Amino acid sequence: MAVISKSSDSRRSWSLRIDPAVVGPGLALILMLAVYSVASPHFLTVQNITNVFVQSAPLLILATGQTFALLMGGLDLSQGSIVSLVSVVTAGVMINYGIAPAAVAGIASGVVVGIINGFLIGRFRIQPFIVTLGMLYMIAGAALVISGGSTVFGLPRPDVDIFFWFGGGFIGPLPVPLVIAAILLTVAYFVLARTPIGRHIYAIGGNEQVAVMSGVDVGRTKIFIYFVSGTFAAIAGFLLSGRVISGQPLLGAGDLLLQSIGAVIIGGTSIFGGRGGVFRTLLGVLVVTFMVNGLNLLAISTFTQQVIVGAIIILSAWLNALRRGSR
Amino acid sequence: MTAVATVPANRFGIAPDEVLSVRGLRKTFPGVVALGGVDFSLHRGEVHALLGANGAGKSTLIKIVAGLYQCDSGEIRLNGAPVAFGSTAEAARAGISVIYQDFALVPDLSVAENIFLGSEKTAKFGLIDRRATHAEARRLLDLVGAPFPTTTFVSELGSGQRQLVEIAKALRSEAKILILDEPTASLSHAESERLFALVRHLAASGVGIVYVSHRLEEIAPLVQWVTVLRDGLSAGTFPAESLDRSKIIALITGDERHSGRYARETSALDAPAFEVNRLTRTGEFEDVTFTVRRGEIVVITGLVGAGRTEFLETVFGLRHAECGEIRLAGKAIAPRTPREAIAAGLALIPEDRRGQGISVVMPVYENIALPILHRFVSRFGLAIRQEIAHAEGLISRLNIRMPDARTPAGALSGGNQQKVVLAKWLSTDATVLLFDEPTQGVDVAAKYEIYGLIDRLAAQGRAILIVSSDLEEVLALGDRALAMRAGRIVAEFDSLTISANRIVEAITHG
Repeated sequence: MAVISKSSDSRRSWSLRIDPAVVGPGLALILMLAVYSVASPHFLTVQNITNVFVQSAPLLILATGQTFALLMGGLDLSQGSIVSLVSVVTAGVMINYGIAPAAVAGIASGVVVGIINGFLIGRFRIQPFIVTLGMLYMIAGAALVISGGSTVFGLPRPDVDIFFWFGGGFIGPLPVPLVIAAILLTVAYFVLARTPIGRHIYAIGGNEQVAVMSGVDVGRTKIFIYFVSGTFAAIAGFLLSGRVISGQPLLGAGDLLLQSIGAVIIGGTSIFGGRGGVFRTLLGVLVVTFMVNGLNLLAISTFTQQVIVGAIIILSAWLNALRRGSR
Repeated sequence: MTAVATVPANRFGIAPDEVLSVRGLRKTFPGVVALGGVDFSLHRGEVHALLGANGAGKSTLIKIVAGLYQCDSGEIRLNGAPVAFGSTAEAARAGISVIYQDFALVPDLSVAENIFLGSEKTAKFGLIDRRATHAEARRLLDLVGAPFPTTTFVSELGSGQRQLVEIAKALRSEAKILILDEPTASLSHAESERLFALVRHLAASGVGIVYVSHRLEEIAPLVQWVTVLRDGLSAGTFPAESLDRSKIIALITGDERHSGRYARETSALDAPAFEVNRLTRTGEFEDVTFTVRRGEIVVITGLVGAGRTEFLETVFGLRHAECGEIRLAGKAIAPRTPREAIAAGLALIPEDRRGQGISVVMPVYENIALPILHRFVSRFGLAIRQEIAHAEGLISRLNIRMPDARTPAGALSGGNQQKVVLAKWLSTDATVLLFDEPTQGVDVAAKYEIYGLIDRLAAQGRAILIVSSDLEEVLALGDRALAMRAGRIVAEFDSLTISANRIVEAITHG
């Protein structure tokens, strides 16, 4: 009977339940904010915090897409290359045809890459790691071929302002990229937590054979996952290019991809799939971006920063292993 | 229960040959008291049966003794000295070997490599001594009566053969205590007999053996002592000769409700719901032809490897028939995936519960809702409260024991997991239900509950096809029974002609 009485107030207990996985990174974030506030007078200013949020928006979008792939026990290594491709396609089209066709063509190019990933993984059953590793190279190369290896400058006048608005503009007090990231995060949360296909993603990550036996269309679900991951990467690429108002063939070639995967793991989503979610990823992104921002303000070199971010990824995975082991 | 002999007073006294002594062992999991203060005693050279229903605490007790779990309170003594194992490796070093129900073998390593995994035989410079490894593995395989070469990959072995490797692995070190958890669940009759001989041999050489089984008929000739657990407490330890089948069942269930044989009312109607005609996959099964009517229960029996599981998987779209046809309510179907089979009105309750039946990381309610998620879609997405309510209805109907519908399914005991798999398929609109060994590894009480459920499903007009190796089950459940041998249906029995002897005759000699 205890079971029955619990169900009568299930809604309340459901909304009050704190995900135990967020405690570790949550405390880390709070501790970090406290230390930085004391250590640097420039940290706790409206200007700086706004900056951090604007900078974190593209990473948040990438990592949210990446969360889909990790939840099913996969990985999307092609995200960084998609950012580069979208950047040069958007800029190239804008020179001749203006902002609207450029936005459509640019983002579509990234979406197509995601769908190809999805078909290779879902229909041809090739390992996600191998497919997206191959795609990482192919698309990075394609971005360089399209742009001839150099930055695409000289975007036409009214269009380039709209372009920048997406990457660095404001709606009232709110930075545009942050608004877009928040909308995408909400959509992603709804899809994962409240739709059958979202549940299917968790089921595949938990035990793919069980999902097959239960009648889940595993192939279609995987195509959807990589479509989402590619689309989110394409939108992030569009916003990042808008910020630098040019087409950069190496825009996503840096550590953007690794930050995206790292943020998901720091947030506590299991790399084996089946457990996690986008709010954990949000926390992971905040940890990464505040960490980097604070270290910048304290004038600690980017070389040292890399050492610290890497250590945090391992530390958070270790904390997760501890938590699971204690159950 | 008064007729049952009580424990001799000296048994819990200090005995020089007592190898394992457990006193007041207590272990709780969130929401569940798994063990509420259990005593258990094992002596040199004895075979001691540990019995109990699902969730009675057998697995928990074994896992604590083996160092996999740590107890909350209580004491374990090994040869009189108190011990507290922090890991399975420590327990193994102390001479405790366990053969678990779920196989713990690496498919992509050879038999010999699996046997010595974790304690590899090394030569100079810490390199693996291949010759010694294979020679010693050969000796162990001969001991358990396994004919296959030590170089065979485990992935090539059937489940009965894997069980033999598992036993050989447990024997690699000089075990003082050997714990066998449902060792014959996937063994053929001949393999089981060989295992019993081996168990007797080991006991005669001084090893203390704990034997967990749901097959009560095995217990009597093999064991000297029987300890029954019920609801995390010991219901007593008894000399085996003082117990008979009905007494054991009464001790396990706590009453005498299930002592009689299960009797079902036949409710077959005439319309054929499910037909297969000359269905063939060369090397697995050939020319399989039969019909199941609405409301009828048909059981396919046979030895392990007779092609029964392969047949079910073909019907369910996991494999594809080379020729022949499948008809559902008169309409030919050829499912290419389980998804298509489900859409046509089929459901398969698989043999491999943890591999195919439930996702252990998912909450119970999500497992149950997985095939019917579309029913819970409202305007604001999945109605999770309805999903939980749906699951809770089934949980109380099937008497599944768990703290909460949000519990991960992996935290439940084997029998309760099987009921979750049943609950999952009960809510679908399937007209034909396929069961593969529905009560394997399930205790007596849950077994009869599952029989009752299957019977009710048939009474609703669904067609039921069961694959079972359990003769008692075949006799108890089947309106008709088909005997399968080497991929072919070799005999058919109806309620007038069915008998255990005839079935054994058919599946072994044809």
